[in-house]
Amino acid sequence: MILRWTLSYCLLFTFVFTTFDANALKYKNIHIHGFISQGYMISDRNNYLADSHGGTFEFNDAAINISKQFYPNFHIGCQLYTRDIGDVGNNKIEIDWAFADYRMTDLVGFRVGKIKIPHGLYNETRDIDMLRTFIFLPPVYYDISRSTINAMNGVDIYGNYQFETIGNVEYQILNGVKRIEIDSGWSRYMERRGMDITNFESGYTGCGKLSWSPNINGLRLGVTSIFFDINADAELHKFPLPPQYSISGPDLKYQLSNFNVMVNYVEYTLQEMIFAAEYMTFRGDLVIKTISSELQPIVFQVPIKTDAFYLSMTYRLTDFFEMGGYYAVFWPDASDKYGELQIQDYIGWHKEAALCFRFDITDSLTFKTETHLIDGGALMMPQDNPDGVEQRTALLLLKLAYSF
Amino acid sequence: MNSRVLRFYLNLILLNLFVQIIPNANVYAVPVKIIVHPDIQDSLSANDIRNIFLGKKTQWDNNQRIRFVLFTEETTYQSFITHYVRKTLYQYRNYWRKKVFTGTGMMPVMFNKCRQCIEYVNQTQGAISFVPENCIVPNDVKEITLD
Repeated sequence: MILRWTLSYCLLFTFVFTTFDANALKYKNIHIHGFISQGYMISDRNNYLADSHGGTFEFNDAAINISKQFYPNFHIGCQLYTRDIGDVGNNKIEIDWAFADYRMTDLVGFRVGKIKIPHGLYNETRDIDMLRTFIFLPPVYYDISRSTINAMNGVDIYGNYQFETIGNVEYQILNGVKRIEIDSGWSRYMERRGMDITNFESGYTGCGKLSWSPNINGLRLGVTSIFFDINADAELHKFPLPPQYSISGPDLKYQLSNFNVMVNYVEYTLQEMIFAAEYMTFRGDLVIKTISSELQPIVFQVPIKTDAFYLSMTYRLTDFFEMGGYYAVFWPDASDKYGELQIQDYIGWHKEAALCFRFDITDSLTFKTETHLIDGGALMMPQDNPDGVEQRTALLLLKLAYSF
Repeated sequence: MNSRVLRFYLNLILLNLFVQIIPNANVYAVPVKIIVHPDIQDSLSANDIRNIFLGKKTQWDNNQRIRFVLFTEETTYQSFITHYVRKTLYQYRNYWRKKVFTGTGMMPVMFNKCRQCIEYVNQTQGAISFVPENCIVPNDVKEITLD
């Protein structure tokens, strides 16, 4: 029954979108674009991001945006976005970005509103399937971080300058505030550490990007950085407390201060081949303070030191077919890369090799198939794997996406 | 597992190197003319052309806004983008799609007829475009050569 429903759904999807192949809806200076995608994932051992062990269709997203150009250097736009991946998203509609953009000169432009955060090469396009080869980006963009680093409200100053000798330099400076929902991926990650987040309060957020395209055709180098503080209320369910502390109905103040996520990147395009490498460092001080009225408050200070990197290569063989692969490593605690402080050493890392094939059926319709071999349990959520996390997982992903 | 991963990447690299040496029949030069609105007095370098069509250079020297137009007849379009913007057509389309889906830009104006391109450039202050060399350009539209 499910198989028949799935096949019918896929056939209808393919029929409709190969027959109706619009590039965009336009009326005067108003442009409307959008995309919709449906995926399927199945894994052999651990559940990864969703109930993937038995195979799941709980893996989709869609967006629609509308923009209007008032003057050649001034436009306003907004994008609504919805997604579902396991317990995250659940197809709740959110404002992905919404801002006014005024380009004063080449050197200086301003944006005001909710703006995508620059983080590495691909964070701003992480949700847009047709803009990349892969279905899952490497763990520099790990899914649970999306709610934290996707977009923020504030003011953006940006621009670029062409130097005669050294090439083109682009910059972006964003200042504002970041809102994090309590049902976000970040909450799921903290749940893994034994805390149920009940409220998030995040203060000032600042981001910067510097990108340099030297006079070597196809080469791009850069760095992005995000700074912010998070304060949260949490309920404790298994955080290891000293034996004399048994907190009933416990509450915690959770504070992540001096939070800094930095990514250094290099991308080289040689005709149809693109090489990319990125190294991410995530630093901060996690302070957890009990606020039980019956006991003396205790304070735990845990330094956060997370590193991740990847190397990737993609190649477009024809207008119809593209392939790519990457190797990525993620260490939740870079001072314990071999997992010596973990109960099972492989919880200390996540190493992943991926191979993807992309088929552009039309300009608007793409189909991708991707295989991942994962070693380590650092990004496997215990709540998804109640019987324990195994060391190795193979994951198969399929995704059909339509954009206009 | 590590040796399997290593072997996989080695094969991927070898396959790519093999495919790279197959000549790509689509990439050949079709001579194009770059045309601008008659008021434009600027001289342009190859970098200027690239930056204009990437939306990075948005002003002429007299601070007038640049309005670039794409001529989307496949052969000319591909030839121009490959040689002047130094991207493949697919990469160039994705570059603008990225801007559209992040809100940082809007799709450029596009025409698939030579006549429409010329008319737009003639009637729009600050306009620039490209047309195939065999396209007849009237005297009131300016053709430019690169420095």
